[in-house]
Amino acid sequence: MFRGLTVLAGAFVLVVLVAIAAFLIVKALPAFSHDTKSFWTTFEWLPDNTPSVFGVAALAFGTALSAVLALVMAFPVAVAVALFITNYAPGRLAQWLGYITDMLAAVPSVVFGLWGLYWLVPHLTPLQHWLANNLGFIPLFANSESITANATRSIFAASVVLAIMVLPIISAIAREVFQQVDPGLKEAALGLGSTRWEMIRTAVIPPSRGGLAGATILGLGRALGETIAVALVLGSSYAVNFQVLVPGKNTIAANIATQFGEAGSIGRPALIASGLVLFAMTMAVTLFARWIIYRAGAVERSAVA
Amino acid sequence: MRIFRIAAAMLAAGGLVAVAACSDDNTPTSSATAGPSTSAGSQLNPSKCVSASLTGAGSSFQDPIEQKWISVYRQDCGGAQINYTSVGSGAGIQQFGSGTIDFAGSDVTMDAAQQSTANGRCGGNPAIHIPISSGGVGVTWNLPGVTMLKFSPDTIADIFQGKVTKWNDPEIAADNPGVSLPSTAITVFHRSDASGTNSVFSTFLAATSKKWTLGAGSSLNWPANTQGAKGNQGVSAGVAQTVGGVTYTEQAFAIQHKLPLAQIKNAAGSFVELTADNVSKAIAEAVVTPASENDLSAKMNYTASAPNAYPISSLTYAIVCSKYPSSVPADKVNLIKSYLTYGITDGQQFATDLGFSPLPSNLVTKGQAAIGAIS
Repeated sequence: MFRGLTVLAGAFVLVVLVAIAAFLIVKALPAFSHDTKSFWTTFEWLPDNTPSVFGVAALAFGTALSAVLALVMAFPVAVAVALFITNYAPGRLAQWLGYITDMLAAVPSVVFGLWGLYWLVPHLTPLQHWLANNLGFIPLFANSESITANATRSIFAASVVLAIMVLPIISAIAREVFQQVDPGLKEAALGLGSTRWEMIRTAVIPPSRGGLAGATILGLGRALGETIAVALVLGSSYAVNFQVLVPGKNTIAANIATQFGEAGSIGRPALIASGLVLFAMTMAVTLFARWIIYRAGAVERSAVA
Repeated sequence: MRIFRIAAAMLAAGGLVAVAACSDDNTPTSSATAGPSTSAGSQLNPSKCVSASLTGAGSSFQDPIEQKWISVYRQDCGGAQINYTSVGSGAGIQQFGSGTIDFAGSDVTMDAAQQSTANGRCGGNPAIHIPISSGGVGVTWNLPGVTMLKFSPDTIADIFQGKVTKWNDPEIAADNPGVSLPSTAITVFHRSDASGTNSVFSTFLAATSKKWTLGAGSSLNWPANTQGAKGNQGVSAGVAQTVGGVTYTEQAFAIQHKLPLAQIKNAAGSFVELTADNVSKAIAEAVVTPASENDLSAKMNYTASAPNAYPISSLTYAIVCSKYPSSVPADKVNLIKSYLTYGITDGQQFATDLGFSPLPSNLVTKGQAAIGAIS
């Protein structure tokens, strides 16, 4: 009886997943019949114009770029926070810090978006300007329109907001992972005369790699799908380049949020088609993460044996 | 402790702006004071009240005035259940077409595909547009010390396409003799979300300036040296944060936030400010181009010679069936007629306070006839 219920629950998850995929495909199909240019290579989004032009390339690019940038910023900080809480901080402080990072994860994304729009964007201006002036020779920080001196709704600003949003997720899981490390291992490392940092490097990090990869991918999942915070902070355009300080670019989720209300008879399926692409992207990322974690686990098991 | 303070500041900021964000595009409906006395304003005859329920959805622009009408209408006719949800014009038209709502609110007229879906929903009878209110779009800027600006359509086109990049450009100076303009760089903010405001602004420019090359529509392919921002709140925040910023917002929002508004040159050659009256004068010249009998879709007349007409103006519509299919109860049809008639007649008194412009009398008369013919 109980077995039957659990099988049912397991099957239900699969059914929901398949139903979502089927829904997206069916609702997206009308867009392709009106597609006058290629859906994969067009850098514009005007599906309700005649002729209708729209392409997912720029959106998918912006989605990936903002999520990766956010992870690059958030990962070191999150791991450092988790290490501090598990290995350095005295008991009570560690507990409080743990609560506070968890609380950060409970802040609704629209609040992050509004904070980004009204506070972060203007206060980020000096930093963006400095980066563009001093490191502008790196294509990433190029300032082709010379406007970083203004409050700029760039992919950089959006990534900072995303980084703050994914930080608590990564740090909470990293904390759990570090706490799983066998205290015997740590004591052994210290007993052999390691400093605390050497102990972390030799006894804490290596067995935690798989868990950290999982934490990162969960963070990436949140960053890829984040909608309203990006929609509020990012000034949208459909450009594809690596200049992260200039305004514009767009993500799939934010584009759906900003365009859906006024979308017409082709715009609606076109947006759903872009949602299908996002669905595929997050699925791919999750499967890849599973594979990494599985491999890391396999390596560990073979090392133990 | 620092982290506490940041969290508290964020929550406070979030709370503050969330209040503004709820009303998304304009006047907060809850705080709208009851114009000229609500009970005296309505001349509904309670004996004509219809006990039925009515659901509408669509344009967020017309949401404040719909909510006002609903609350006043229900004061006299408590048996009437009316709901209007602000979901965007496109989504409203889609819901109307699929038959989940009884009328749609829209800032734009339906395209051919939408019209045919809507006709299908009406049992093969044409779906019609009825103008219920109107509003303008204003151009606002951030330049300390410059309190008044005038723009011709060509100047606006060049500024918003990123071709004029300094405030002291000769083209801007030519529109503003005697105004001392700084050499500050211009930062253009445009709506990143698809919106009726984009549509009104670009339709005006496409019709009045040969220099405008971005076409007309609720989304445009903006040049790379302009910045997008979401909603009236987003673009006005951008301008407030940037000296030299310029953007466009809808009338209700601009007036409510006391933004400086440029005078725009109209077809008669005069520079006109954005007021409810001046928008109504432009709307009075709109040309009705019916797609079917009793349809009141209209096109703005950008060559009209009315001296005080504010040119960046537009109508907002209710979309209804000219004849509802027999599956729709007669009571519901009567309520649609009664409610919309109230809206375009007595309901217009609330327009100015809510940041809309009252319908001119020619459109009220036509609207009454079209609503009367609904069955």
